[in-house]
Amino acid sequence: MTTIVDYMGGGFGAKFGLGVEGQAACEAALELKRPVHLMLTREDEFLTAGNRSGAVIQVRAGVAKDGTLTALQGEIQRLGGVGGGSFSGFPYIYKLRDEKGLHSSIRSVYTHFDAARAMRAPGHVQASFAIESALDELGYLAGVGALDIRKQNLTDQVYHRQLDRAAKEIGWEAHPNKLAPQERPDAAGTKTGIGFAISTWGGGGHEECRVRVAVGRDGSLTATVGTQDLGNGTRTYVAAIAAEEFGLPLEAATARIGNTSYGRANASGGSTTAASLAPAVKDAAFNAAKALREHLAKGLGRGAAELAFRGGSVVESSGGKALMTWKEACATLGSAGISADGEWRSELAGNGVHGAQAAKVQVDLSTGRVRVLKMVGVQDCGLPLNRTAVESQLNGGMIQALSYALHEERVLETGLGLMLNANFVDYKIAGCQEMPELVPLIDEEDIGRGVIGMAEPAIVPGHSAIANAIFNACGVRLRSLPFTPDKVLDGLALLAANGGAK
Amino acid sequence: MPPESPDPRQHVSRRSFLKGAGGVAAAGGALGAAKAFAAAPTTERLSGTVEIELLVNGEPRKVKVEPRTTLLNALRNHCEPPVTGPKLVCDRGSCGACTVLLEGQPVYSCMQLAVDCTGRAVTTVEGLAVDGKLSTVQEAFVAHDALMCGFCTPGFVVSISACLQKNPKATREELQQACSGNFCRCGTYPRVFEAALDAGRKLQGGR
Amino acid sequence: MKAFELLRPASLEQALELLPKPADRERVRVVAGGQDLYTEMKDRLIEPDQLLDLKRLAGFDRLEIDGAGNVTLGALLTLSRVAEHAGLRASLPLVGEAALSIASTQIRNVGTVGGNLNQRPRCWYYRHPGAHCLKKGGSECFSKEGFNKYNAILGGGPSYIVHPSDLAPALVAAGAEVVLAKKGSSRTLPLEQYYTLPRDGDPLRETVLGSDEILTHVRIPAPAAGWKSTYLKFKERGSFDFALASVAAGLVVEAGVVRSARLVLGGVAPIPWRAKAAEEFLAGKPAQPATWREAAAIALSKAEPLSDNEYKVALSQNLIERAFTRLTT
Repeated sequence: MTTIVDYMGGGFGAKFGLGVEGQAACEAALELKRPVHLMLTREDEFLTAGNRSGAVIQVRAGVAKDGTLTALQGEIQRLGGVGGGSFSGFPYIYKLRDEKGLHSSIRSVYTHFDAARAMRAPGHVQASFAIESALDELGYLAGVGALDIRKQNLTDQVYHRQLDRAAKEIGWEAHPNKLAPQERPDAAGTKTGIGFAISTWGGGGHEECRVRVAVGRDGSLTATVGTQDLGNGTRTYVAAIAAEEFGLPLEAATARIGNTSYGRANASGGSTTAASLAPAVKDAAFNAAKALREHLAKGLGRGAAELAFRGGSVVESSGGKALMTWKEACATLGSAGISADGEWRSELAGNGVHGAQAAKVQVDLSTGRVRVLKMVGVQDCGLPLNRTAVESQLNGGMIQALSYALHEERVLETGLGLMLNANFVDYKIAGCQEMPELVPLIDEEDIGRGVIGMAEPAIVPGHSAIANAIFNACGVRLRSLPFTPDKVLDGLALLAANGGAK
Repeated sequence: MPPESPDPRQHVSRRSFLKGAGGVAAAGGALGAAKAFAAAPTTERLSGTVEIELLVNGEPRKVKVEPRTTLLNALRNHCEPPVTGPKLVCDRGSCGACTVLLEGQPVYSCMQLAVDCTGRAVTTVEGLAVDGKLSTVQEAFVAHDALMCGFCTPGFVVSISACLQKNPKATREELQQACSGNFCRCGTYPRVFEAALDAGRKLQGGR
Repeated sequence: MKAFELLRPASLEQALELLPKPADRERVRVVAGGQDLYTEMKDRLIEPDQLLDLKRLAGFDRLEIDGAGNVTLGALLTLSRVAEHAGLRASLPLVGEAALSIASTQIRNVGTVGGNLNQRPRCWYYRHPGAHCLKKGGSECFSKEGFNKYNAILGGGPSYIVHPSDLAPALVAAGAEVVLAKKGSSRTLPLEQYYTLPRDGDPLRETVLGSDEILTHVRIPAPAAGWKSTYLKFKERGSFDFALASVAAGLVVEAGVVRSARLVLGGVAPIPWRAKAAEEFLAGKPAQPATWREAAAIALSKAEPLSDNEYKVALSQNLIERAFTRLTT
């Protein structure tokens, strides 16, 4: 059985296991002895291909006057359908100085819906919303504000650094309503607020990938590994690492991926692919380059260490004098070319990242519309393999968080046993009109730690930051996702009825 | 060949399958229809399998389809070689991945009957490049990293090309309005609009 | 999509000959742009044996404004052409604004005036192939006790759908008429009377269109001197969405006093909801914020929200105030 996934679309989760759909395709292929093309309908995708776990979380908490958490209780119910669901721990990232004040209980509530699968930072998104909402609320009650209450309960200075940077970029210093929601609406009937939240993720790699880098007599350079396509990030850095080793432009290298016959690779998930794969590509390319240098050295009557690959040529490693072009060098190879394998090298990968985000929103008091004006994401990721791609991933994380913050919800009708909105008209994702100004920032103070996966942490804190910004704007504390106009209007009506901010 | 559209109700699927299996008579002749119409305007009737000619990216393509076959399905699964730029994602005219130009106007090809497109110019993302050279919009997408997984990209490129064709000075807001029916899951929007604005500047003559 | 026979009549007479008897109306469907119809067919909500395509009919895509300012919109006129027509935007801005607010560029390039006016409800239950609801011949409107966030707050019962058209409220506010042709005759009626409440008519349908009739065109009378109008649509998602609530409003103000007003609400009732009591209240009142607020309260005074859609009351009121404010500042 060979699985071919040349282009799968965005690989955002729910792909660790074969799944009932993959199993059906395999069985059909075995039975028919013919290739089977698996493509799900939108409804199948929503109902059987794996969804994020739900959660219902109740939090009680108390802080000292300076905002230090003194008591924290969490009751967590995971909703994972027929599966157990996921939750990443309580409290998420923040710590009590005295652990005696902490109590939490966690249980799974089983329903007859499909089992939740590992979907885009499983457990973290849910855990973030609970603690970030509670802490934010306490920050206003204690009068220390949204930024300081976070720092007060974080010992890791990386978070202090990242929160400060996010605060600076979002314009917190000049923000007029730091300690209470905006009192009066502006002329257009809107109020504006800022909110914060943080994230963490592993993203480390492990031994699993076997990569082969091959140089052909025709000058071709190929890196082959049986990892699956995940969008085009993997394809890009696999080729880039190989090309760099031979002093060639990116276009000169080809990444062959997406086929299980290409050899062993790790199961893509948990943002572990980059940290597992990139070191093995580097190792294979290094080995292949070494072999090619040794081959060329014989012909040139020099030592292999005297040769280097630079700017599309073979050059003297000291001085850089060009000896032959890449094409000429490759033409000296036998018909089989030259190739070498590579494996994971622990010293090339790191593990564990932070992240801080800030959101600025505008709430229209007449319609309940929440418009996200700006989001800032500060993210460490060890060594960025491709800065443009890392920034795009950060943007993507913030946009997905904005999307599920404002729109996304699987509506399950228990009476009829149906998902009511299993299509792209009624299950809404953010589009062009919802886009804020996005500021993706790589935390440069962290690049010495080797390669670490960073895609998932980027989606963890955005919805919490948006919820907190909504409160900071208009005083409505939304405790369930998504933050749709009906909930904002209901919240505003309740505030007015209680004599709160108008 | 994939089904024209998966059936959400299995029992109906089986029933209609049995019904349809009885016999598929080729009827109508869409190719000759225009001539017949000029001579004696009568009601045309199309059913079963019909051969039609589509004009795809300037090339005539003969395909055998049914009246229910969408333009998207005809392009991807009935043309040989297939035209796979337009993507099948939602199949309900709600995501934009299948966007093509029909007589220069962006439309969802999953929401057009192929038989309604005879004699009308169909331009897919493949047809925007001239002599193998990427168009200004396509080049800008590459330069600005305006794509991630790439499934929505053909639709965005087509929508933006049509918008800039009409008005190379289109503002960010106008471009966002033009692409309100195109959705991206990866979150490429910021760079899509950077690319579009850059392409607009280049199309106005400034390089 | 189930296989079907495509019929392409060359004339209106041929088309009318092909229309089914009432008992067969599910078998034969009229198609214009198809942007709503095809989704229903793909989801197998309907499975017609024949589609009657009107695209060959001469003059069905016309947009005409005569010397007096009367407007004719053919049933097959695309929404893009309505949205972009400079003359129409100048005299009846609400119609162009409504057309531009619909769906997406791709749909407006294909979707038609006739199709938009005759589109079917977006209620989750109606659209779900697995829910045999009242609108599909079942015995129950599930939204009444189920999820009803998007459903009706006015005119509901026994079905609680909302009419999804944006063009309809705008055209009703503009006093438009529709022309319905049948074999040997035709009738003209105010668009307002074209739509029926589920409690007044057949709950399977939203209009009075007979199985033997075709909507051929819409006529809009020239607006009165000084008439200003606007269409405000509020969508849950800014990109490509249906209205949570919308307001079509028109006013003639002279010397700071409202001479006449039109107010039609979209997205809140099974039909475009004309707020007649509010219109009557407005005549003769000073054109000022307090007046709009009071009119908005009157327009929604009969609202009967369901469990999840009380927010639509305040939302609609706020949109009404905003629309009239926009017309007078």
